[in-house]
Amino acid sequence: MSPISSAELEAAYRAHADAVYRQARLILRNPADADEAVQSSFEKAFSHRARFDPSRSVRAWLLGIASYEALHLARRNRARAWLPLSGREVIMPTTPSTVWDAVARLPAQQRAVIGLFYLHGYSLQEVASILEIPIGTAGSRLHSARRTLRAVLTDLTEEVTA
Amino acid sequence: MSERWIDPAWDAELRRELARATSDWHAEPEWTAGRAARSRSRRLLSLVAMGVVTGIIVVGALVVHSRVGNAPRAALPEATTGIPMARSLAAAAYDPLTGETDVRRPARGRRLIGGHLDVGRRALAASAPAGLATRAIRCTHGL
Repeated sequence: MSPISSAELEAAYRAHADAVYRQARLILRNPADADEAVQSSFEKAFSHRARFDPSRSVRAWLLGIASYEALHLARRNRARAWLPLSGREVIMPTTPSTVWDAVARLPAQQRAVIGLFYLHGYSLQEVASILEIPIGTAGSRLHSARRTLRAVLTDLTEEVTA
Repeated sequence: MSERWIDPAWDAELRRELARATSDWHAEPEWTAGRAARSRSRRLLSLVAMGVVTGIIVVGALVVHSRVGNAPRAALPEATTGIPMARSLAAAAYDPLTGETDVRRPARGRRLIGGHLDVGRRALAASAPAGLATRAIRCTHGL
């Protein structure tokens, strides 16, 4: 028997779908791709529910799957970007927020860390565990992201006040 | 890791702003375990269908190839069929559409290289009917 049943997974969707969607969209910057990532994340969770570790939080497990799926989709989109008739374009953020504009300029892997750390409130240790990367790598990505954000936000603030 | 340059107030502000900027992001459409199971079944079914179609194409191609490929060879003169080079020369000259031997065909479709030419020429001259051998030899010299 799976550690998490179909009914429990459906309940987890209702409880955490928005968080999963936000994490996916933060990484992908595109609502349609984020929807696709959410669907494939829950399908992955459903088909691999036997591997769920009950000692972990369902939310963290789902966010880990979503981050992986979104990063995978981001890589695929980047690979397709050179095709002239792919129908995919680089989508810049449309939400009128300076913070979102700044975050959207970060590389996808840094956006994944920023999302888990700032948006979902996980510690650096938890971020590393969710993304299944060494804590040093998570720290380095967070450090680079903060440095870039600080520079970009300072520029944006100066543009607004000028 | 040293994060001394990070201002906690700046950190908290970033956290708040990010939450605000993404507050109207909501997941849709609805996902259910039943839909996931159906989607997986559909994927499996489409994989099976693709396998069947590929199999039909491959088997069909093999059948066509075996029929078309064997027909001219079976009609070649008996004397040439036992010797690879002679068979090659004769097959190159043989036109399966008309059933005739066309000395211009090898020049168009086949290319015989180096020492193989002499061996083939001797084998053909020794075993094939005189007319075919002569035409094939002349044709390999570009005549």
